[in-house]
Amino acid sequence: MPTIQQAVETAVGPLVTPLVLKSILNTLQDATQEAGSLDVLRVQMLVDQVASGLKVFNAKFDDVSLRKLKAQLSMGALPAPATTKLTISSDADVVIALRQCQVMTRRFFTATDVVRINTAVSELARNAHMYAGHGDLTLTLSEHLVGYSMAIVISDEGPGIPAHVLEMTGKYVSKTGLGRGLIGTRALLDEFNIESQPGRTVIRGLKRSRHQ
Amino acid sequence: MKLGTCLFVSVPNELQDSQARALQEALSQRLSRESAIRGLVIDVSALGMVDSFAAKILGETANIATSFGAHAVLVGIRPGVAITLVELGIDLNHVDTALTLEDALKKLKLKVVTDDEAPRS
Repeated sequence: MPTIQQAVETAVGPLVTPLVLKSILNTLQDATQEAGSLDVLRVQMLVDQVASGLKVFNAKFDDVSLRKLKAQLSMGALPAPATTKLTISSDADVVIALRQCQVMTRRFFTATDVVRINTAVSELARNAHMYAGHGDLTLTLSEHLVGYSMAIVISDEGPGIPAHVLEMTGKYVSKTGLGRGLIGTRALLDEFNIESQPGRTVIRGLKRSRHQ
Repeated sequence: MKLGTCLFVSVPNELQDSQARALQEALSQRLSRESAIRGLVIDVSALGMVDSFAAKILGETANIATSFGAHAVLVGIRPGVAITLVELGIDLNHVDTALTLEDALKKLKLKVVTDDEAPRS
């Protein structure tokens, strides 16, 4: 398995002088980690680092080189998904979750989609805290052939969402804050699914980006 | 922050729920104590996201201002926030908004005076 250093050398080497390449490699941290085992966030971070390093030297670094570098870093396959797992048991945890969500989404989604995803996470995390005391949140950022997706899963062991709130058809207008919040959250995402019974609730949401 | 008969408040980013409630409480106290306050400008430009809870707090705060004889205006709603509020189905139509601080003050039809000239309550 090649290292990150080797991957960068292969992709960037032909474009720059040995001196510039050495400079770039010096700025990379964790350069001994194996390429290919990196997740989406890490790959993008390394690409950004190399790209800005090359800019300093006015090196030609276009889309093709970018894709080549990405391919080298992930060994031709799509990079592994980046996953964050958090427990929400307080107000502060919601803020932490949102911060993490912001970090995961800002390079891969449009500004408005970032707001949509963050808002959805905020709604769901807050609900879990408010109605169930605490919940487990998992955020997964994945790369696909045509773009990226952010999957949100939140589960709790609370009293469950009442059946009448769950009957969310397009025309149904819920009276309760919970129902309205859920209908609203569904509108922000591309996929939305709720499984709820007393003692266990699992809500899954997904937002896709378009290929940049 | 007070400027004449106007109260300005900037809502910081990453506000925890308890802090939001505390802010609302502090504003209510201030409004009830100082009868001379006629305008409340709420700057939300630091908010990258407004969810249903935050929207509820903002709406309530505007209503609280009204009940104390003051008019509230929201300033600085980011485009992404405006879009998601509509998509969420949140109705903040009863709250006045303005694009800029200048517009907000025009709406409030108040002349901005310094604290020195503010009426004693």
